[in-house]
Amino acid sequence: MPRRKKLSLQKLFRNKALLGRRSTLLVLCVVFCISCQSPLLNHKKADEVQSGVRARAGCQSATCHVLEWLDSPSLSNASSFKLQLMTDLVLEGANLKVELWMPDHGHGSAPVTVTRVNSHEFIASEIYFIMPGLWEVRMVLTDNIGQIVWELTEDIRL
Amino acid sequence: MTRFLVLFCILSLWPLPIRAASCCGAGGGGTAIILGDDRSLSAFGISYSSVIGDTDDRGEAIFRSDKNKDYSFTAAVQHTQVYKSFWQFGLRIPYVQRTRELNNQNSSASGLGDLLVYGAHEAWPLEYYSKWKPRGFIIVQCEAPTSPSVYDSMSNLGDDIRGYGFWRPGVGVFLAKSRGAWDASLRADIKQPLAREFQLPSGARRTVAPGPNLDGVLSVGYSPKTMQSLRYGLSFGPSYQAAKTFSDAASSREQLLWNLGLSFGVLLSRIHSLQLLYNDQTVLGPSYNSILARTTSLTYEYRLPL
Repeated sequence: MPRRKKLSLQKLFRNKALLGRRSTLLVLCVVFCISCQSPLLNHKKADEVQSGVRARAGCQSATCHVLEWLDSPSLSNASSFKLQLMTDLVLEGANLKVELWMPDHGHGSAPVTVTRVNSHEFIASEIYFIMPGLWEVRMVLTDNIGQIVWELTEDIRL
Repeated sequence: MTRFLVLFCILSLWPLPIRAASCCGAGGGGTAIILGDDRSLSAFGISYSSVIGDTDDRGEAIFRSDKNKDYSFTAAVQHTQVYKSFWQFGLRIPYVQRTRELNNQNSSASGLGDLLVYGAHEAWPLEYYSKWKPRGFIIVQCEAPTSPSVYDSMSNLGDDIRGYGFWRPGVGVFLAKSRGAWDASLRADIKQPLAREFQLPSGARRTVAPGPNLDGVLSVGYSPKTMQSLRYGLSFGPSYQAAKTFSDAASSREQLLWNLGLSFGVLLSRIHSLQLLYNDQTVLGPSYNSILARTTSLTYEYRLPL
């Protein structure tokens, strides 16, 4: 019965040429597999990415809103929007806070500047979407004693 | 003998590839482990890091436009001291200048980065010559949040973000082997950042509890027989951050990126050496929820022999 030749690890490593070829092949295979999803080979340019959102409207708890983007959400420029509220609530003295939040990353962006146009209209500017992905634009309206009277979260994907 | 000297000296400073913290932190360097017959090792390094793009939760990469630049210069001093043969301790102090340019806006800030303290124990010394057995170290380290993070930033463009934002203790294993003209090493770390409370611009407070961070680096190096004072190196490995949990929001998602490093070292004398390192996070994938950066660094090393 022919004896099966056993290739021990020691013998394998003694054959340097074989080891060199196998190691090189192994390293190339690993690098190739990891490179399959290489960002360098598969990416988009930021200029091509805009959310395309212009305006959205909705109603909740007897308050309707129209959110109109003055500068569309973009990775290349500061964005801004106008928020118009239609409600019977008295909004004199109310305060709107806008926060950006990236739920997948768990962080936000720079503070947003909010300017009051009139009693029911606000403009939020200096909005920086600093990286691509899913963003939440969180808006909270509080009355003059700090109680929340209205809130809305708008999802933006860039 | 000369070859061993060269390998030992160049291996003395074995930095992890400089990493851009996955969201917005400036580059952080690694620990420096002394492998040679040295009493101490001091290093001064400068690096330039530029953010090239970002990846989202689906792994799609988007490279930034020429109008949106984010780059930083880091100068760091580092010192490692051997204590009782098998122990060593070190400290790294970085100073970071970060610049953001977006269209016509330009903003820059500078200051101290995150401090790093570390200790290493040679748990598996090479007492007898072995062709295959590596030397092994157990590393304990802690990063201190001595610079503003993404949760502290008050700048529109985030140029004041220079650090990770959390105390980050961790343990790691470092295995190194040199044979002939070749050397190889494997480094694996796990860090568990500690939860911290931040104050939001609105005045509210938010507690952030990050998940564990895992890093690995496999490196190989080659010193030509004819030019033994030179060393060419290649390294690659993943950097993973588990999801963060928040007191007032849903958990984030995990982050992953891959580092690919090329290095060139030159031994000027027994005590002086230089190392040039290029690290690229855009070449290997997959990558999720990460900032991708390219970093070039030059490090001068000075060591005191035993």
